[in-house]
Amino acid sequence: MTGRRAARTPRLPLFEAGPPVAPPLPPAAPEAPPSPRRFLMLHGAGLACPQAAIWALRFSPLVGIWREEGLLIETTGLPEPEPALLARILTAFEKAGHPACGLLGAAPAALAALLRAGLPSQVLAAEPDLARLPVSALALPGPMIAALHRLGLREVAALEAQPRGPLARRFGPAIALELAALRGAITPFTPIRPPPSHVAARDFLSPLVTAPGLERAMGGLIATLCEGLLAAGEGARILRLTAFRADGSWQELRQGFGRASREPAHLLRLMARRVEELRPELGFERLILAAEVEPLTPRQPGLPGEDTAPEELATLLDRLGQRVQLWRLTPHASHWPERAIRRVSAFAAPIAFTSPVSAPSLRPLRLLRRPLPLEAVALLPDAPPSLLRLGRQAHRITRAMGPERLEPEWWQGHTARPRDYYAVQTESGARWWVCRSGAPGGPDNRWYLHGYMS
Amino acid sequence: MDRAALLAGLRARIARFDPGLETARATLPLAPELDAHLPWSGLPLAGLHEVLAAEPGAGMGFSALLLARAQAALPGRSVLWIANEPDAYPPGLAQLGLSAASLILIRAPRPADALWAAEEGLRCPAIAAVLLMNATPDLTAARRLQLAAETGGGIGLLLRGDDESPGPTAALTRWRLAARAAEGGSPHHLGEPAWEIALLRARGGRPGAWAGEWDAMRGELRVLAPAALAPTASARRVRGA
Repeated sequence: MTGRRAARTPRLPLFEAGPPVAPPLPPAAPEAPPSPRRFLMLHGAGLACPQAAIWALRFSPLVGIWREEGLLIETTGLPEPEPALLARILTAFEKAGHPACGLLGAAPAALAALLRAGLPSQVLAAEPDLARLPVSALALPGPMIAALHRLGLREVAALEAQPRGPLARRFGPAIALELAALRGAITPFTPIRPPPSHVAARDFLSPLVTAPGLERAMGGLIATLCEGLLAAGEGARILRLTAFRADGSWQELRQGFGRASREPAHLLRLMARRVEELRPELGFERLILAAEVEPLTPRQPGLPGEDTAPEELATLLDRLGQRVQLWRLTPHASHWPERAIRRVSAFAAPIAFTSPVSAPSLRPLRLLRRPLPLEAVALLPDAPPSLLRLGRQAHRITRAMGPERLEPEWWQGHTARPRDYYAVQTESGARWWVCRSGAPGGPDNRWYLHGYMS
Repeated sequence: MDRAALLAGLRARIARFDPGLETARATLPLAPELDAHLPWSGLPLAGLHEVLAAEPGAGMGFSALLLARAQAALPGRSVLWIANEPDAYPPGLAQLGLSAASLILIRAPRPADALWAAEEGLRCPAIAAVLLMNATPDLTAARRLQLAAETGGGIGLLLRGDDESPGPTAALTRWRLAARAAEGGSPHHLGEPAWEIALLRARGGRPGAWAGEWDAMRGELRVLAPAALAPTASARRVRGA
């Protein structure tokens, strides 16, 4: 007990007293910015159109058209200091033939109102002084502004001093919404393009004109993009290359892939084939390559001789698809011969055909897309043909199987004449699948060669 | 170095110069009689073959049979069908064993595109066979196709109409197919598909002619004895060649 008491009241301090330690202060409240997001509002003639908005994508991935009067560019997180950024963007627009004035700040609605009030281009660092802003600069309909003027409310300060309830009862919610937007409440805006998750961009001091130069630049961009894709475990399904010219115009290339890929060689091979579609004119100043992605898990390569990777086929089909048209065939539930098969994408999952139950041996190997007209001679109106004339050549028929009568599928709404199909063998041994369209013995029935049989 | 090893080394070197001479290569079985006649004892994979169709149906039937055999020999691979207007009809092709599940149709109106697509396809290890219809590649183009097939390991088929002077070819074999009335059958029954199969040219082998019948039930090509053949036009042409 004594020992414990002694331990409680030590004669010596546990440690030497140093300089007095200030009690820890609560962390200083961070100087909360009015809104962490920064926007640049541009007003100018002919700016509020998709053409200019897409061109402005070269500065920031988030660009929208603001209420059909200007462009809104989100500059949050851009590495350049804001005054330099503003100067660069304004110079670029002026060079492109669209002189504009712009304000860089936090609340888009306030920026637009200040621009309407005639404030020159500048960066607004702190909360701008909105109290002296005339009511006529607000985004309110004209009759409402006239009514406010009649009430003697000419400045924003006067308007804000009014109780909101009577204002809302008389004018509706528009004024309250506009005042909240002026003070930094988030106003939604729709970007002209959804921001892509993976982007590689590059500026070129001397504009790119030649195809080899463009290809090299594209190779660099694709390599950068693929590193990002690999790190994220994703593959590109669609690549979109946007090339910006100095004169305010731009060109876009979209290249889709049958299967998500992040292999630079494959992506570059497909994109390089499209270089000839680019028209540099005076040269491209900036290239942006954006990818629409989907998850892609890495696959362990098998031993040689094992089943080949599905990527092999997908990359081949991607390449072929650029120059030729390709498809697969799938079965379709129909008795009508040309409707029994359907074209589907070559990348679709394959479906096996089962041979038709009704007549397993009476189907051709090739079904002509345009049946060849025949002239037929038959002993009786409903007998198989004994002589068929194809063009100027007459073929005597030695054997004929049939008829197989097919009625149009009226329950599908198809209207056609019934067909009688015969498998015939000519004297030379050739086997044809021929049909008579129309009733046997009818006045206007026709004969067609519809397919070749083995 | 002993004599046997020296000879084997020399043979391997020659085989590298001309892969057509190589004896031990993967082949497709056709029919016992045909396999015995061919120098590779079967139709070699990784090669280009030419089929002249005296009649569209017979040529197509034989080609479909080869495609089906290639599909069976190289499972998991796809088959490309390249034509000006591809009009494959899977319900009929299934009778010859060709499954449409791995069949990809390619429409190439320009001959240059068709040749390019065939070469790209043959070079790809995911392709079992490429059928190129109505294309007449010159010797250089055919040689390119042959080299591509050696790279990819698939089979390349050139199917085109028959003409009197087909010209030289870089393909390993050249066949001519004509239709023939089946043995059985009646005026109201066609019988099994029956062909006159003429081997016009085989690299390192002799030409030959057979009468064949496709036995759909057993899924095999039945060859009638060559002696039973009446001398037909195509057989006469072979002898004259």
